Amino acid sequence: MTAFVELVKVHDRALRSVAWSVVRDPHALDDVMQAAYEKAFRSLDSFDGRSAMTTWLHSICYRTAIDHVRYEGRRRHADLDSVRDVAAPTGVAGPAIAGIEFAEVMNQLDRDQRVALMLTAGLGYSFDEAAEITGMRRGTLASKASRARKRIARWEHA
Amino acid sequence: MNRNDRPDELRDRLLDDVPATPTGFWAELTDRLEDADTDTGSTRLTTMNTNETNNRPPLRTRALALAAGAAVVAGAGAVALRGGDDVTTAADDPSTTTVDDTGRTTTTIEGGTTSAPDTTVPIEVAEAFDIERCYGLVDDDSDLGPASVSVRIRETDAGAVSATVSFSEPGVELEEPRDALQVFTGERLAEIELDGALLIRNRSDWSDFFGRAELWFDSVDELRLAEDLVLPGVDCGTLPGDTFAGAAEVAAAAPEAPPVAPALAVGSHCFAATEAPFAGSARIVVADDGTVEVRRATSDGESSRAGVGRFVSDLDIVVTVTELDGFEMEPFFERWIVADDGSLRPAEVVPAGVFAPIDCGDLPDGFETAGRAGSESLTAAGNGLDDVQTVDFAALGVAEEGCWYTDAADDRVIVFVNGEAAVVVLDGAPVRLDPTGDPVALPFGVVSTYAGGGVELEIIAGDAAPTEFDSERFNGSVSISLPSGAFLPTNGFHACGV
Repeated sequence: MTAFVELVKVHDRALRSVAWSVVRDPHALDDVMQAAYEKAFRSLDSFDGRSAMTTWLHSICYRTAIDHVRYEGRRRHADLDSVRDVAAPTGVAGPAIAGIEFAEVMNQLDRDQRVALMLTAGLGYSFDEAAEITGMRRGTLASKASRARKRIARWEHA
Repeated sequence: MNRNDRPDELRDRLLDDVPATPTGFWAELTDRLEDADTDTGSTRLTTMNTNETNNRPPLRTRALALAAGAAVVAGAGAVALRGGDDVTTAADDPSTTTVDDTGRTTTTIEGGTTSAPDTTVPIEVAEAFDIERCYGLVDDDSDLGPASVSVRIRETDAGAVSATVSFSEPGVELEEPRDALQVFTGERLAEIELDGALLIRNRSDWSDFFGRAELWFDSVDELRLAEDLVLPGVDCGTLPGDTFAGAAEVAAAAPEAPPVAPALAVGSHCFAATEAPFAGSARIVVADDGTVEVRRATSDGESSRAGVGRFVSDLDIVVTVTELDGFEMEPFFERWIVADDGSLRPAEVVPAGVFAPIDCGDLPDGFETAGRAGSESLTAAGNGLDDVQTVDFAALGVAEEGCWYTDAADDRVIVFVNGEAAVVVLDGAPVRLDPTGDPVALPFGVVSTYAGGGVELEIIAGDAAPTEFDSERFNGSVSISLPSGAFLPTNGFHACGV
């Protein structure tokens, strides 16, 4: 167990960043991370080595965070479409972007965009690796990352 | 603030945005893992500990729907477990549950002993499950909302009952379906009570759970009553271990599923809605056997579902959603209602008739209705249409999805997706498209907005829109949103099969 804790300590920042991309709630983040690490610990026997340990851990953190968000959505008695992303700009213009902080720009991205951006631009994963972690199709993930980058770029030049 | 967009800066910004790990986090994790370590391989069955929530009396759920048309419980005396019996819950499980004369159970696992909670139903088994079947359950009256569980129950050679349980809730994915024994050690506890009741509880840290599902079937009658909500799509897969010999015989004796007289005739039915929050489209194809295929897309492109279901009454459709936003999902259920006026609405939505029936129409020659449209959203904007034309759809993962066009009566808009995108606005002229041909540039200057059919396309020409196509003068934006599973009605957009 000690070894496991030491292992996740090494990767905690990266793992935390993936969960953060999903939950965007600092209070929930710690709960998600605790749950994710426990899941990983309980599932160590099932780790088959077909992917890198870090990829496997990222995947668990991502899925745990997704579960949390969906659970919260259900708990709030949201309607059938509650699983949509929190703030998903659908038009070209989108929400106002000038004069806001980076965190707000991130909040304006949809969840998948944030995750795709974090995995690729933040953590340096390839599209293939990020797709493996999230279960998204590679093309989908690339698209999400691309849109997120464009959004960030708009903010940078606003 | 320096807003250079060098990759390193973006990386730093992303990582700096992440809240730091708080003090005490690792100590808490260590404690938690120590508990987990203790749990592993220990108590697997029973023990609803001293947690106040756990000690609540079992919530008997209402309106449980038991799936599988062949759900049958064997007749009295098929398996009789009584006081003193030892029940081995599975061949490979080291635990043994002993039933005493009062119905209290004691489970011994790997040398440890734990007593069952008082809430355990006293055991007096007159009948037992005698079948290997899949069950799908819907309980939308509980605070859990719709939930599904697939259960495989079979009698073992020793006369005991073993079960494989998969539990899912909308939007919640289990890592893997786990058999009942594994479920005991995980986040959720499932028990097959010896009187035939199925109990599913969450036994782990209750702060991690948003409700409690206890699905009880404590009588044969209740089981059979529930059969009128038969849900397809629960796949048993391959059972491990021995094949249950009695399955075929029992299945043959199973009652037929109740007849269904669906409000929608066999065939294809299209619906469209324009009002939030369900603006979009839905297509339902009713098969001869009453099963339906439902594809739905919302115009915002953010939530689309697809699945197969069936009528549970003449107006009520329950759909096993297997795909959400383009991703395969652990199946969950949605319910749709066909209103008297022929409109369609999700059962959980108050406004009736939000999806008005529309004419599916016929597709032009050379085009097929795509069962699945793109799953991507694309937005391009800027000065000059070249910004749009140079978008590499292939890189965005939608090139394979084909092309889209509208044959709406008035202004016509074509979006051609073939590695590159071209946007052409026609002004009432007939449309002839060749999916493999070059994009056609035609007189430009129409402001057209379309939101429907799961596709949202908006072309906004700038001021002083030219009457002739002039990419240099284009000063507007193009937004194309193609949600997964979009069904594109004839009077909106079509996806041409590629």
